[in-house]
Amino acid sequence: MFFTSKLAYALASLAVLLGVPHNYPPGPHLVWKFDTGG
Amino acid sequence: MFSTPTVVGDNLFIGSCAGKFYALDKTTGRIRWTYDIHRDGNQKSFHGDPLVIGDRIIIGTDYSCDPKGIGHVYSFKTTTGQLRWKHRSTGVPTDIIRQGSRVFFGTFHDDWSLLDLESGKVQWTFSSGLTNPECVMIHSATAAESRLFLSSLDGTVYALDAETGKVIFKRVLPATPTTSLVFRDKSLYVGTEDQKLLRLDARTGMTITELRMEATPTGKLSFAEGRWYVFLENRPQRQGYLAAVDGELTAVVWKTAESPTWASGRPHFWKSYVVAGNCRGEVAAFNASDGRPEWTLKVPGCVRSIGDSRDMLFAGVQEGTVFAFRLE
Repeated sequence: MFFTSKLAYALASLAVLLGVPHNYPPGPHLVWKFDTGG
Repeated sequence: MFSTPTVVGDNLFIGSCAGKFYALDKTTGRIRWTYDIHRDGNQKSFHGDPLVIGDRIIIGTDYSCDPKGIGHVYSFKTTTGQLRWKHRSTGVPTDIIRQGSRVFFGTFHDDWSLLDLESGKVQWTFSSGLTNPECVMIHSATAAESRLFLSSLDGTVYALDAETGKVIFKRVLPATPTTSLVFRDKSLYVGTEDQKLLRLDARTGMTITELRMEATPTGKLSFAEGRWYVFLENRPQRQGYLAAVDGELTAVVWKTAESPTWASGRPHFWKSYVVAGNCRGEVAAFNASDGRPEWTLKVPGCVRSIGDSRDMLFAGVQEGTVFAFRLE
C-alpha cells in the first residue's frame, strides 16, 4: 500500500511537471464492464 | 448488443444477443436479476429498445428470420424481475412503443400488434401482407394521441387508428424510408433512400418540408434541444456522417464525416454532447452546438448501442460486453 501510494504520488507529480491535465485523457473514464457472452 | 442500455433508478437493463435480459447495478455492474429467454422456446436475441412504464419494463425478442424461430414480448417488474406477462410472437425486433394504456410493436413478417399494457392481451393486429425473404430489419413505429404510424416493408407509410387498427391513410413516399418514423408536434419525420429528410403532416401524410442531405439517412433519428441528429451513409463510397439539422428541417446546422460509417443505432444526446459509436470500437463525442470533436473512448468491439443515466454513459458492443463510463 505504501509503495502504491508513493508510486501514484510520483506519477501525479511527474504529470504536473510535464503539464499533463489531471483528467487526461479527457472525457469519461471506465468504471466497470460486463460481458453477456454474446 | 443492439438494444439500448436503459437506466431505471439504480438499475441498468440490457438485452443481450445471447438471450439473457439483465438488471445490473448501474454503479457497480453487479447482477441484480436475469431472465433467460431460452426457457420459453427457440429465440435468441433482443434487438429493439425496451419501454419503461412505472415499475415495469417491456421488451421484445426474436430469432432473426429463422423459420423455426419464435419471439416474445415480455413485461417484467423492474425491481425484482417478476414476469408480469409474456406474449408469444414470430419475432419482435422493433422498439416497444406506448400508446396510452397499450403497447405496440412489429415483427419480421411486417405484422403489427397492439397489446393491453396491464394484461398483455391482444387488442388488434395489422399486417401489410408482405413477405420478408431477405430478412430486412423492420423500422420501429411511432405513436401520437390516437394514431399509430409505421412504414411497411414496401416503404408505404401507414397511419392506423389506435382504437380499431383501421387504416386512416397510407402513403407511398417518393423513395423508400431508411430511418424509423418519429412523431413530433403534429408532424412525422423520416429519412429516405433518395438522401432526404422529410417532414410529413401527421393528419394526411403529405409532405410539408424536405431537406436534401449529403448521403442517405440511416438508423433512428434523435431529437434534442430543438435539433435533429441523424447518421448519414454513402454505402458505395463507405462514407458516413453525423449531421445536426434544425427542428423544422430547413437547414443542416453542422455535419462531420466518418469513415466508414457509424454503427450505433442512433446519435445519442448526453449532457452537451452528441455521442456516436463505430465498429473500430470508438465512442466519439461531439459538441452538440457546433459539431466540434470533444473526446473519444476506445473499447474492444463494434459499438452498437449507447445509453446513459445523468452521470454515466453506457456503450454496448456487438461482441456482447457493456462498458460503463463516468465523466469526472
